[in-house]
Amino acid sequence: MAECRYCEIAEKKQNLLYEDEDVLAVLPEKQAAKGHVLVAAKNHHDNIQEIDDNELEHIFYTASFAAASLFDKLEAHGTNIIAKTGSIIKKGGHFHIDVIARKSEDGLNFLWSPKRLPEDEMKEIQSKIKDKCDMIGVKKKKEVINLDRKPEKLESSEEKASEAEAKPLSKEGKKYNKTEKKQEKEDSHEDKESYLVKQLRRMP
Amino acid sequence: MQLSPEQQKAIEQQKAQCIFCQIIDGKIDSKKVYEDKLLIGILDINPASKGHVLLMPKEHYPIMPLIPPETFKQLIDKTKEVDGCVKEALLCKETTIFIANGAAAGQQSSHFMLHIIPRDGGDGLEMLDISGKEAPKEEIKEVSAKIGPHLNAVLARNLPALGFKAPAGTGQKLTKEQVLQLIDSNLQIKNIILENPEQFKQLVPKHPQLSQLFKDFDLDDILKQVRQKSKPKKPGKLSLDEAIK
Repeated sequence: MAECRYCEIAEKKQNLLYEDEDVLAVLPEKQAAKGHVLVAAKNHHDNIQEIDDNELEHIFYTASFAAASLFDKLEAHGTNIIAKTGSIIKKGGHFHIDVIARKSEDGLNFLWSPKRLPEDEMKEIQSKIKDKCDMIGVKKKKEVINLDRKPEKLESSEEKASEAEAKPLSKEGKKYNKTEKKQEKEDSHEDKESYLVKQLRRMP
Repeated sequence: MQLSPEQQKAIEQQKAQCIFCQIIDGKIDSKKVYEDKLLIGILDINPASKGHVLLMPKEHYPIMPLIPPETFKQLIDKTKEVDGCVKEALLCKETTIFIANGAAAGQQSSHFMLHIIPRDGGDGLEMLDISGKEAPKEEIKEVSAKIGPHLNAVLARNLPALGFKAPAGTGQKLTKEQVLQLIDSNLQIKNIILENPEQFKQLVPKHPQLSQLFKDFDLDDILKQVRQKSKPKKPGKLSLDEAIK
């Protein structure tokens, strides 16, 4: 049943330090250093983008407090918090964070040899990433705007684009103005229904 | 987390020399990819790989526990989104998130930041793929005993206050030794018990967390044990250390 390593850990409760609905913290059998805590999501996700904000914050806060515990109780000189976000989660099925206690000259080194990239390459990378980041938040706004603006588009700009289709809709729209208002009150409970579906219902 | 005036002064001095504070103030150039009210994301000029992004609070926090909840939550939310953007922009399926707290952990700047590092097979960054060695069982037991109760108490206390689900009570039921350990680790409580045990006894029923902690135990017994553990004040009742000497 438990093909998943993390589900197995949650079941066995081996070296379990903490558990709640969303998160568990354990000491993995293979320790990267003395004082290595594994903080894992209890739910399955394919990548970090699928985890909702509250759950992800919960997991990271648990990791942050685990790091503080390692610092206070194991007298660590520092801590590392390391996580993979993509394809590896898909394989294992659980987003997890490695929280590792560090001491000077413990023989561990996570630091990389920095690369030297030419200026034009850096600018290109910056531009590509920035373009995507500029859409953060904007995508969501656009979706909301589309739903609200459909009625206006049908009555004004789309009328010019496809008169034959638009005209009967707008004429009947006027006829139904009074009844529309009554129905709007009734429909307030069904706000989630799209405007188009409502229009179709009102047509004979 | 509350800071002493000396600690606050030290942070002010750090800020004055912080390169990233100067980047955020626009005094030094940078390759910015993301910005909002609380955070900024820039390309690392000495990257581990192409597209290595540094995401950080605009405010100067030297360590993670100092970051206030609103900023911390925003940092995590935006890490997810910026990471998604990096993956889309570079057509890459895997990234590593890396945080170093303290110089021993590889923290190179006093300004707290989170690294988003694009990954690929054979990229020479395999040290970030955490493995580890089979640890002796005694070591695991030792670590578990030292941090388990502390972590549980800290999480049970803080997670609900931050708006997250936590198990009812303290997740694990604490033994008397664990309660004593907890008191030992909390200097404020320990000092009140040592200097004014009567005041502490009056405090307990007023504080929900304290009354929850002591509800299964005899408070007088616990206070006696705490006093005995520290300097023996009553002649004739020697602590173990004194007895050995």
